[in-house]
Amino acid sequence: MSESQVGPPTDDELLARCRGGEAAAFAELVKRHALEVGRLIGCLVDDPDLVAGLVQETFVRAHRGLASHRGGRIGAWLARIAVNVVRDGRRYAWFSPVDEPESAVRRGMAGLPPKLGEPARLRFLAGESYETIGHLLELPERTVRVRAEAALNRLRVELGERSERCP
Amino acid sequence: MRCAHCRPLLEAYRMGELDEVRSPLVEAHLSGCDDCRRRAESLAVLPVLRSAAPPDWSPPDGFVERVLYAAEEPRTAVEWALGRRPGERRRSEPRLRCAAAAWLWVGFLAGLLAAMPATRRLLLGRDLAELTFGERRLELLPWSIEDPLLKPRRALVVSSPAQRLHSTAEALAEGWAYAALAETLVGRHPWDDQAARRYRTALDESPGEPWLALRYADAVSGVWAQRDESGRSIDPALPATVDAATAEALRLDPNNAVAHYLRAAYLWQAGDEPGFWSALRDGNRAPRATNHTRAAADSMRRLAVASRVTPLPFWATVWKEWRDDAPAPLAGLVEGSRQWARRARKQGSSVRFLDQRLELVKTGAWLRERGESVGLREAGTPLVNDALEWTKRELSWVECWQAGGQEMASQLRTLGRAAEADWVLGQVSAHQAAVEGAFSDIPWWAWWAYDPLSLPWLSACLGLRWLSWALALQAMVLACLGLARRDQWDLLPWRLAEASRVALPALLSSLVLTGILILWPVLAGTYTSGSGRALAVVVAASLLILPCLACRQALQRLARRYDRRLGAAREDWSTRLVAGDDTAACRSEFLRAAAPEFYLTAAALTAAAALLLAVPSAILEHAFARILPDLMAAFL
Repeated sequence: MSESQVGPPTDDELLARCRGGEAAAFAELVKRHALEVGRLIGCLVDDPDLVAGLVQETFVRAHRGLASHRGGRIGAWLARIAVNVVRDGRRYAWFSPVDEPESAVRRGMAGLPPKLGEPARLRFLAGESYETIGHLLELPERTVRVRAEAALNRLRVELGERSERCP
Repeated sequence: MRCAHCRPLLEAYRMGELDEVRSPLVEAHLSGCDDCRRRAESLAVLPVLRSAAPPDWSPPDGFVERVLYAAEEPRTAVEWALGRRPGERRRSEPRLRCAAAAWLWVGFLAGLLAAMPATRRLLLGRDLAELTFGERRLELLPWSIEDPLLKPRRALVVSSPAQRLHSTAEALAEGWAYAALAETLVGRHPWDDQAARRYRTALDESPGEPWLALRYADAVSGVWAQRDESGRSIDPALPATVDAATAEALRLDPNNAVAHYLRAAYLWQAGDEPGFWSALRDGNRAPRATNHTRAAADSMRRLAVASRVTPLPFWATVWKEWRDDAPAPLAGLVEGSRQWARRARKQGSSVRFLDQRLELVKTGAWLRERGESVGLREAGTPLVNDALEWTKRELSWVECWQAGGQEMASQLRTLGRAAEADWVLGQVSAHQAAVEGAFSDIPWWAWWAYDPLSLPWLSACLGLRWLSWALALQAMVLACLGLARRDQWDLLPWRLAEASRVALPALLSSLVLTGILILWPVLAGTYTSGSGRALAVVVAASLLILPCLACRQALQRLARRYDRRLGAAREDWSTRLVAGDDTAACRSEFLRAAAPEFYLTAAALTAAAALLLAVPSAILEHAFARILPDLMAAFL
């Protein structure tokens, strides 16, 4: 008997069972990756009340798109779905940004355009590497670096000005 | 560690991502390198940003079950509340947009195809209509943009195709048209022969009278131009007579500049170019030469060199008119001939040629008036006869139906020649009937097919009109849905956002299409001036784009406001849904939380958008027919 048969099932094995219609396997996937997806979405949206719904939407989409998964790490696949869910929500006004985030950093992030805000949130809030961000956003790594740096410059000015106004 | 190794690690160092090996190395380098330390200090905001990261999210109780429930439904709570899946809208949007754009482009291409000559011949089996007046052959095309949505009008303003006009213009520029001006004045004058004999007799009776000699030369030069239909000179001995007459006039009065100029014209006509230049110089040096005569002689020289044709009768009349103490008409005549010669060299398009045709008609009328004044004073109304001939010839051009025929008939009636006036009017009616007859057997659809503008223009106008109607219809449908099915109210923001997203590209594409349609005849260089159409493009753009953008912004703002109310209760519904609440009860609660007034506002906005689109489209439809022709007539 091999080692994989006695240990917990891998993500790929769970995925295969999900495709076979086993709900318990999908529940196990949700349990394994919900925290990771929730942390990512929490960095991308300013309203913490939205996170649960968006995570749920992410897994629902993943469940519908099980057949479209073409290998690779499940976590990365789910992260890309999560980014798309947040984008769709913002684009089609599923949710609107909160009026005024309490945190100065969040306020600064909210003021960034999505093109700069997404790399900045993923890099500076979520702590993802530039390579991972490029994979999530489907952008070259250098582009991600440039945009994150541009966002950082804006945030630096923004936070500096705010701190000067409100010492 | 060097700076080049340290700097790429500064960001990771500030964010605390470096391992235990590299972190001390970076710290050591920073302690000894001011430049890198300043760079690291500029990244001091990174820890602040990192500290703002949200706390780890933990799924609420029952989260997995909710996900499974929603995935199997398969709807999330939001989608359940919305009554549909998110993908449904995005699937329908391209279809609507493509359908709208395809409809417009099909109309445009159909119009373009139908306007091609090959297609026209294929449809009709022949050209639309042809009229033959003497040596001229006109291809008649309907040209009407008046109220294209009602019916095509039979335009009486006809023109031959641009290429034919262009080639005709080039052929006429140096020859017929110029000769027509001259012949209008002095060509085919039966009285010239009589006058020449009279002046000859008077000169014989009073030898040495300069003005009689000059009059005799004028009359002889007029006879010079008399030609029969074969083009042969009536009197082959006339050149020698003119030579003798002008020589005699100069012998009697060598200081008469006009006699020198007249002889110069004769010598040019006779092919004696050195003699022409010599006589011209003698005329300019003559003591009685004035600025007027020098200017006229210079004009004669320019025309002679430029066109290689200097009809002697024409210049004979020029000098005669000057001699009659009419310097102003002389100056006008010279200037007119200069302008005409200048324009003749600039034949470019049918538009210009038509303008020149009109200018020719005007100039001809002016010359006829001048000639008539001279002719009536001197010999009754012989020039009217010539003008009548000219009018007969020009009646084949529709412009002359009014400018030529009516004016000539009026003149003839003033002179008491009612029979000839009736004849002119009869000719006008006959030609008009001929044109009408040529158009009478054309099928109705050929008018659209032959008109290079009406069908695409019609498509664009109909597109705009139908689009506005569609928006109005959508407003009504939404109203009915909202009143009949209250559970569909929540779909309104997305439907409206969808409508705005669909409508704007369609409108923009139709706008571009309209611009192409308007500018197309101008780019093709046919028929009409482009300034009015360019103005119409600007007006259309300002009328269409601004209301669309404003409406779109308003709808989206409304949708966002509505969505905030929806989002406030979403989580609660989701929870209760999982908890097994009655679906209908959840929906009812949602609808109570939603804003009922949103529907009325949205419907009003949509209706306003439809109205804002309908008004500019109606303006555009009638712009050419009602507004721009008047403006163009006023300014151009």
